[in-house]
Amino acid sequence: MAQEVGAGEEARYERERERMVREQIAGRDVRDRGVLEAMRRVPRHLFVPPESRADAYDDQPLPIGYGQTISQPYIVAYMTQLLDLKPGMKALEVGTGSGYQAAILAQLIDEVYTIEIIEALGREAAGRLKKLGHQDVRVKIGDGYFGWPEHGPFDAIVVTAAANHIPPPLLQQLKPGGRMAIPVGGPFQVQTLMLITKSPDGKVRTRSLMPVRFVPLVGQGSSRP
Amino acid sequence: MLFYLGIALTSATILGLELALMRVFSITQWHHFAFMIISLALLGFGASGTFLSLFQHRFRSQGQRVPAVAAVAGSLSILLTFWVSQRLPFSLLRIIWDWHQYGYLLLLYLLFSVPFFLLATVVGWAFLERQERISRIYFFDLAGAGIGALVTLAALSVLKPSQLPAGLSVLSMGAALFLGWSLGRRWQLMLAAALLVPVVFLVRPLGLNISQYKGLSYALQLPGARLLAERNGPLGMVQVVDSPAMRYAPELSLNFQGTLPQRLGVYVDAELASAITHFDGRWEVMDFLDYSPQAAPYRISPRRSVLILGAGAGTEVLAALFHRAQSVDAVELNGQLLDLLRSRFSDFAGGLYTHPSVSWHVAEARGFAEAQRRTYDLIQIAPLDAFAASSAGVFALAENYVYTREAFRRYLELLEPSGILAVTRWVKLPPRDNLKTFATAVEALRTLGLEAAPRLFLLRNWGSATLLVKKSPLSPEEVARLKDFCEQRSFDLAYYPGILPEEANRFHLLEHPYYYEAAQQILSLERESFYEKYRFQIRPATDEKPYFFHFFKWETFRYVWQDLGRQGMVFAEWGSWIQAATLFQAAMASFVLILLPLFFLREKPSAASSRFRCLVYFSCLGLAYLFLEIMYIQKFILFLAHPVYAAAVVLASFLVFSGLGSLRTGGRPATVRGPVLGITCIAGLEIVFLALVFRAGSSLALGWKMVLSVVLIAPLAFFMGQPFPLGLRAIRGNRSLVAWSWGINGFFSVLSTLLAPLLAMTWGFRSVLVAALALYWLASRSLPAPRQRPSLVNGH
Repeated sequence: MAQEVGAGEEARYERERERMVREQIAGRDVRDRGVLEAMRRVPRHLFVPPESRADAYDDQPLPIGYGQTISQPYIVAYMTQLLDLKPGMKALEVGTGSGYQAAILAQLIDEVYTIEIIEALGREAAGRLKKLGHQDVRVKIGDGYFGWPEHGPFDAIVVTAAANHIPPPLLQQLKPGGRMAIPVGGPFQVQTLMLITKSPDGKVRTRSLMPVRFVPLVGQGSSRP
Repeated sequence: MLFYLGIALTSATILGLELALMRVFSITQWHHFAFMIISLALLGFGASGTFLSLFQHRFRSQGQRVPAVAAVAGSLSILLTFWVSQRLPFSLLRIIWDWHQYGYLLLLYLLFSVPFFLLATVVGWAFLERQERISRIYFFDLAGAGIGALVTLAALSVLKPSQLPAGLSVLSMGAALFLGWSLGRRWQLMLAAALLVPVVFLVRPLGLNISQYKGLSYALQLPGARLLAERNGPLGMVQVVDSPAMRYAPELSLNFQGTLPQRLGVYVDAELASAITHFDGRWEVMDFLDYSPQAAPYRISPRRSVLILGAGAGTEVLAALFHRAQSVDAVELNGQLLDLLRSRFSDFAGGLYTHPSVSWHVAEARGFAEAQRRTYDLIQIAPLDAFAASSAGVFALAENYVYTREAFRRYLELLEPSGILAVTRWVKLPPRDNLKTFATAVEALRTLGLEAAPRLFLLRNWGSATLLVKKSPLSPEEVARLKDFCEQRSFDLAYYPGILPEEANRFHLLEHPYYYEAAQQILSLERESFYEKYRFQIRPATDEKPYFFHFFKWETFRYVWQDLGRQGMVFAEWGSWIQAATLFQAAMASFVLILLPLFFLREKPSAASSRFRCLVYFSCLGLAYLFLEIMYIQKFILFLAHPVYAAAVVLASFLVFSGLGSLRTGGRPATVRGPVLGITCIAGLEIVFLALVFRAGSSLALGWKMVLSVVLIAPLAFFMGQPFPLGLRAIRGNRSLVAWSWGINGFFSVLSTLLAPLLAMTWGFRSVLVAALALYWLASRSLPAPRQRPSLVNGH
């Protein structure tokens, strides 16, 4: 996917990226400056298949093959903001996919680990990240269920593949005070995001968030449900 | 006679094709989408009537070659359209993001209209060219369709889904052979040779292209994944997949620190539906079973006798044995699944499927409960979505009799005095399913004269919520035990008698304590106003309106519209949308295919009033016939305790006995008052007494239930088969009008399958009956005046 593009084209993509951040991300409820800057810097069009490049900065997820998608830009930004990353922190991503989320994380912190179970996707993503200068991102081909205990515990974990349960090994590798973000819903239809926090005493809590403008659930003339 | 057999085989192919395409698209895409495609593809019916009415004069000299060639073309088009459709890069999930997908969708509509158009042309041609034999043709048309329904339902268990198109192509080619038999030896040889083409594809079927976004596609590309077994049947394609990287525990508490046992994924129509748990007899490694909200009822006190509704691969059954239940009745709808589990995975599951304490029953959950006579300490309803009572796919109605107010009342009747009903549903945001089950339990308890508030306990994990309904009030000790359990497992309390606001929404935080607040409202005197004002439909479903999964309210349309194309669309309920979109499309298409051609009819000897009468008469019949048929399928699902048996018995009985009714009209003057009076009396009586008959016959063996069903349907169907041929006889001689009427009737039959559920959702099934009878009455007032006295010479 990562092919050379001309300087004129690059400038056009940069303008689109700027528009994407302004309209789709900052225009909604992502306020974290670091996240907005990361979204401005990473060339999303190099993470999508060539045939989807023209749509790379549109407000939508795109297919990347193997039944996987690159998430909508807003979802990537929102999930990254949820992790509340600070310099010096260490993050694990489960489900590398195209490598885009890992590249965004790498803009914010130095230690990023990412695991992809589908070998072809993982190899492609590793090559792409290296080519784009993200040599520090460590990519592993393997089962993300078990996390990456050799490098744990992590301050933040982001699970980009929708899971039907939350793997206990990942919870164990989350530092006390750490945050984990998981999208809930199938490809092209993320409806909620789940933020999992581990308190200093090790207690785990989840928070379900709807990444959309919220409408009251009860019509006029009544209190909330 | 061979000609009529050809007609019967053609009709059998048409009906079989509807069922087969529904199956194929349910596997490769999703069942709602299958419904949409097929409804539109059936427009081929309307188009065939229009085509014949506009161009029939060109075919007159071709004689019998027309139906034979149309049947050959129909047969080949089934194969060709199937092959092309499996290569189109269409993805339902991308449709809201990618406008190209609408182009592919349109292409699919057009593709699948072709075989329906060609095959309907065969039957339409017969009505046109053999007008003196209308009753006989209609008999073979209906009887063929009835037998086609039975044969296809049986074939769904024998053939792989990928073989179904070829099987139907063989049937259509066989029809061509019969239709062209009288054309001479050369034609006979050619048609017999042509039969080999679909036979080849039957032996070497064209492959299915399952969407890469379906669970099965993903699972099979994981390292080490293996497809271990497959079974096919009318309720779906069941596949068992082993993959070390695949785990299934959607209800597991976050506090579980252990290791999950190996589990095999059970996929139904390529979506993960259940899991087979490896069990080697060591209960000490099965403690994950105690980390699910479904373990809650066992914390109140030991449950000796347990009924599991929707047992799937048996996780809840295993949990019951883990919690020392002494006898378990496990009810599973999908017989193929149970067969597969018993024959291939009994050892893997530690003998669970042949365990002496467990009785497995293949039945629809509600039907089983209605016929059951013993009582239980615990009745547990697992999330049934994948094995829902309505998954026959015959008429993709989302009806479900497991979660109605009457069903809950029945479950409560089957409980011991201290028994518990436990209902688990997946959590959705914004909340809907679990609030509806809560409301349903409240109203069911009230119908039994029991106060609801002291008998309910609602707990919630991040992905599922379980409602406990105890027949007797929960004691303070029992509540304390449940609260301890929730605290240990980090499950949220949503309701218990005496709950304080601060006790809710502590572990899995929602923006507001929605569940707690909604439970309070539902238990208050304000509940009607709450149902009214809530953005989703959470009023309890009833047997009269058994649409538990119908949550969408049209007043939320503007929110969906604003979110269209975004990731949220939290208010969108795709089932309702697709149904409405399909209806809209069909109405548009009917205008183009049926009303517009009216102005281009070449023969115009008939007055405008006569054409208008034809339009009213045949559209009323098309709508009314299917209204009644669909309503009867719904009613008989409960009695026969199986949607496929119900569909097969009702469809076949209606079609065959209607065919016999048609034969009876052969030498009669064209008056429909008699048949309409018969229909009104019988349907009116049966709707009153059917429930009583079903109750009296609920303990009969299945075979006798089927016989009783046929007896109940036969007289009504007999009368319902008469108005259509009588109408055609009345316009006999006006060839354009005959062809056009055939198209109208076919098309409105399709529209009927879309309208009936919408009517039932809004006003209940009784409204469908009333509408059907009103339509028959209207038809009886609109019968076109005969052009000439009916001939009495076409006896049978």
